[in-house]
Amino acid sequence: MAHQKKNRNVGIIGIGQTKHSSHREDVNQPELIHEAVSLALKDANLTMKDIDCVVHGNMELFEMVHSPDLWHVLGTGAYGKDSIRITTGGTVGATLSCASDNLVASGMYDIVMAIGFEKLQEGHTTGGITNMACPLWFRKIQAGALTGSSAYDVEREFGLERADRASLMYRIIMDKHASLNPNAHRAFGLDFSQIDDLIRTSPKLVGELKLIEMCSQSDGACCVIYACEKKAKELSKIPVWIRDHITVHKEENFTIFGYDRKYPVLKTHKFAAEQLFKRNGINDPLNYFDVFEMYDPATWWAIDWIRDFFNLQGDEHLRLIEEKEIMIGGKMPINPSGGVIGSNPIGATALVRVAEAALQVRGNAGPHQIPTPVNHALASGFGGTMWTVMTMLEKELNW
Amino acid sequence: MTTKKTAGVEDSYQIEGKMALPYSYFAGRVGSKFITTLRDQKKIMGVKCPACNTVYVPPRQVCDVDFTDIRDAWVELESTGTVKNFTVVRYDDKHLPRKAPFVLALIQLEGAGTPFAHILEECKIEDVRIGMKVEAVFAKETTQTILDIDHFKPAAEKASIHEVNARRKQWVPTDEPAEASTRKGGKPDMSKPVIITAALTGAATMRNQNPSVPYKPEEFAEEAYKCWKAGAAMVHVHAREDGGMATHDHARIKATYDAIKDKCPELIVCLSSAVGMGKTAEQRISQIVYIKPDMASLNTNTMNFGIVDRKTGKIFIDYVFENTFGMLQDFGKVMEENGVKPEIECYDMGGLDNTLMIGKQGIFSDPMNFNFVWGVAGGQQFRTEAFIAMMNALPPKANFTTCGVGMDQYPCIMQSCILGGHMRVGLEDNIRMPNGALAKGSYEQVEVAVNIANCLGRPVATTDEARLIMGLRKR
Amino acid sequence: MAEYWGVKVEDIFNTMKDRFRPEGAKDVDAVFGYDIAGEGKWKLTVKNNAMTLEKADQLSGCIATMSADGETFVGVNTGKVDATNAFMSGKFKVEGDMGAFGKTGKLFRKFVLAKKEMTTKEYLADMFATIVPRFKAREAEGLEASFGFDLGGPDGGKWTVFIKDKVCTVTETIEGKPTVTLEFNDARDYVDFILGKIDAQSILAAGKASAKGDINMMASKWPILFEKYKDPMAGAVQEQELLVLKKTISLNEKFSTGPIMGKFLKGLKEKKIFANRCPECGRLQLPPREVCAECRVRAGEFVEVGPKGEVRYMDVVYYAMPDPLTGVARETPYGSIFIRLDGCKGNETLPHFIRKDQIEKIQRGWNEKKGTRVRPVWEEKRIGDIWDIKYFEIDE
Repeated sequence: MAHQKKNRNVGIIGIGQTKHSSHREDVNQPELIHEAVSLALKDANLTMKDIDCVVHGNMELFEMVHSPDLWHVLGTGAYGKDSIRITTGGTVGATLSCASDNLVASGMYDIVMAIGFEKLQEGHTTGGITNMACPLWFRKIQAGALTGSSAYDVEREFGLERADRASLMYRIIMDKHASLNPNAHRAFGLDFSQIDDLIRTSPKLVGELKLIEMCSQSDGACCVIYACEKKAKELSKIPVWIRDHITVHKEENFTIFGYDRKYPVLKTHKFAAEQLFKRNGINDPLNYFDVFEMYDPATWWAIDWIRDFFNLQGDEHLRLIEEKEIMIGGKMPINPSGGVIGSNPIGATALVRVAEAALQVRGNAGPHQIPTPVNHALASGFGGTMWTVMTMLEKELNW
Repeated sequence: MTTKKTAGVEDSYQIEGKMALPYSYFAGRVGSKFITTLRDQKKIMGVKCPACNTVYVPPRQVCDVDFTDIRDAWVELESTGTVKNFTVVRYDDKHLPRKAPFVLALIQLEGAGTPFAHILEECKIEDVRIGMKVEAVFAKETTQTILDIDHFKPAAEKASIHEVNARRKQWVPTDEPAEASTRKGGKPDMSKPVIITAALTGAATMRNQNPSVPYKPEEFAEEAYKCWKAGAAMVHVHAREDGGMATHDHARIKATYDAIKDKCPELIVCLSSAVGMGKTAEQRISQIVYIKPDMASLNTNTMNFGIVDRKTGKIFIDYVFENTFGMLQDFGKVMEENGVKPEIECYDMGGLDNTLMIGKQGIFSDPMNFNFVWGVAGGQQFRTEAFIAMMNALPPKANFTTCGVGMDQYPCIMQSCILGGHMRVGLEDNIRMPNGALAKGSYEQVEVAVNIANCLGRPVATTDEARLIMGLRKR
Repeated sequence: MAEYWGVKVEDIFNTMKDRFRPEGAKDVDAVFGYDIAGEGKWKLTVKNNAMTLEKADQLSGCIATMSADGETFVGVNTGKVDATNAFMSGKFKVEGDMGAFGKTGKLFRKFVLAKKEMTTKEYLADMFATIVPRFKAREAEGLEASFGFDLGGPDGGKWTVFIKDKVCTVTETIEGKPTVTLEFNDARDYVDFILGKIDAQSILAAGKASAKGDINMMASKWPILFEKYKDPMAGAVQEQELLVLKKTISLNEKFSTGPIMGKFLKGLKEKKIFANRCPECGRLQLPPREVCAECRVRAGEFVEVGPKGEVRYMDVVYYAMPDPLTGVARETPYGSIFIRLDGCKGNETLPHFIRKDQIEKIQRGWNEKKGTRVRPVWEEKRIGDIWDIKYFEIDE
């Protein structure tokens, strides 16, 4: 499928990320973007002159500016260059990566820069998302960005106590990872001994979804530079190769709440993972990949999705968590960066997944680098009402 | 129950909707400084890109053309500008800042490299022209946005002194008989251009008395430039340290002198040979030799130079300003030898007589240039008859200008102008305007001097004319 | 009582009255409790746009009570500690009505850290104590002089600084006849003068001070002999004011229903709920759609379903979010339900809201297990809009 039609290979040669945090009153939107762009150019040892095309992403209604790419030129450096803006909701960062990959692979451009950003303290996430889709119906009746349905699912399947503990276990592992990542937004210094206390005290947001289990609202930006094989080898000592990516959509409506096993719902993560692994001949993804940067907007989704992505059976996914196999040093380290729960500048978040996975492959992620060699990495993006983007990264060009 | 009926066009209709979203916009450091300066100081700030020299208004962190980081490269701009283009908004919408019709103009501020859109009011729409001069009208109440400039209005149509000078015939010296007799005859030559000098600082005027006193070289340059634009042909300079202390440091004085010359090459710069209290003769003269300015002040008399309460006579500072015959002779010689024309400072008739007496050695080249100084505690107060007596005592061909401390400033320059002499203003002598308000800078006092000249019909000297009149070296 | 960043817990409470914003207290009628470990308990009563604060032994009757240690409390109030971090990590806890406690954020202006200042006396002591260390002996070659300081006012005093044989000494009197003596009517002016807040000329011209003796020695020699006095309070750089512009974007819109949605909405006017069926997979779409997205075929056949049904799923929403129509946050908690109307199967559910007082009683469905039966409550005057159904209620 897709990757077989690639005209040429594409490598990541530059990565820049701001520290993700709340309340960046000291910068406006282009200024925040400029920080990430400058870091990525420095990382790749390039200047803006070397960039052929800028792919810029945004979340509609989040930054409250019409045509933000015009204003953002001050930060993106797109003055006088080919530039494309992409807006695909929560997946936007992942789509930026796919688009950049495609633009280089097609032969259209040699070097492309992808830029995702968010200033969630300026806009209103829930307000923005509530205005999603059909204005006559869903917009008026939407419950907001959040749902507790995944918690409901896991609880019903595995019992309240085990579910709650697995969720908090996942949360604390993410916090421990975030504590190692200097760019992470929320790193509280939580410990496993706090599980029971947090289950009891953390305020509920929706259904069983508690505040502590939800991702942060962050300000931050991420920039990744893509180059064709020839340029990547010339310009970078450690290019990270993009093997394949896949995007799966479904319809926008919310009719996923029938809870009747006779009528299964399309699960895009599971569907996308199966397609992607099949066409790349990967039979045992859990063993094949060395790290997974997952778009985990809340712990409940995360623990449920591990099963979907790796096609696990029964309670295998819970045991991975309970036995801390998803921690750095475990069998399948998930989100050494601390994940979306640790930092969530939404327009950048899915690009941060690709960037962090690439950093792990490069082997210079910093304090949160996995100690064992990383040759194969996986990154996911999530958005809309259950859309999926997945990206596979490789250390060597030998597939 | 099932109906087979399918929907048709007649089922479609329109529903009114609304979207309301709260948001907070962070202006960032650069944006915040722009707005707070606008709000609190009614000043419009921009940033200048050092790579491409573009001055951006409103300011930005990065130059979008060459991607240079320019967040700290602040420059202050004039609140006047030129209409580069405009449009007339003729429809009403609640999101628009004014009721239609109104003019939205692209205005490029003086000193700015880029225009920005703003509202143009206080004139008929049909009178708006591309190229017209406009000035900012600041809002009474802040919105913390660009609308802290409420709108622009047409700038008062007043030709600048430079435009006036460009239109008139240039002054040339004539072979007139000795001028002293003319002066005594009471018929001063009103067609002779009047030289306006701005004394920017002196050694003692401090920022807390008037915040516009320049300390740093670039501040001197900016202030000197404004004075030149207003009509001054010469500035008189006492260099300062960053903290405001008067200095005799060669490097600092040179930096100050060069900054002015860089900004405004044609302007005549007169340095001081009295660079603050308690400086030695060597400290006072060596810097003049080092820099060789167009002109330098030369003091003529050892005198009291103190601070005394004029109401009670109480002495606050009892200080003697030492200017011996020897210093007068030596300083004068050194200046003339180095091509620096002395400006001879006379605080009373005695100083003038001293100069004429020592000058018999043949130290001073013609024309000699005198400055009558009024109102120093230790010198004489301004009196019209004393002025005339001093003027009448001048040698033939000599020029005279005058300055007065405090509120003596305006009467004495006016008298000088009437009598065919020249005028010196500036914060060194007086920090205020005729109405008692603090001067925004020496340049505002220059504007007063220009007005005096206009009232009397005397042309204001260009720098070239001033050089000719005072016998300075060509630039 | 412990200080954190120079602020006591009491300082926060004592300034509440001054920082109170009546405009932020509209619609607030509640008692809030504050339990600061090791410091005490406080009760804040807000009513009729006014507040009272009292120290209390116990905090019963409070709608919400926050608890934290002194450091966290002061830190959060002074901006030294990130409030969200403190809250999430459990250092800052709220028990009771979380939503109500959130309103306390609007009740007060920010606590501003008062800058600690040195008194005139402290400054004078420091200035003369540092004279000897600031003395530059190499500049005093062959110099013998004394400088007298006669500084008046309540905080004033007298000092003499002697320089002889390249040694500097200071006495706290005026001895003999100094080479030069500075007299200030008020020592505060001297402090301001040394700190550079006011210059010598202005002080002298205003008659606030005078110099006796060898003025030149003071004006020219002193600055060479001594290093400049450094203000120990300097360096506290004024933080730049950063602007935040708050706006509500509000846009009026018009949407065409199209024939499919139009028929559905018109049906509501007649108290009828229409779904349409996919001819390929047979599923009912609710609300109806032009095509079945799964089968990519036109869905035409309309089927009236409901209006009663069973709840398959419900989210109880505790987290307020803005109503897209007004920008104002909805009141929480509310129950967002997914109803399988009679005549539908599987995932053919309709989202709506449940009657507020019935949230607790709702059972969700699961495979064969039935959820609570509900029925729509219709508006009297229906206009063909989703809100023609006010909400659903239990069908008893």
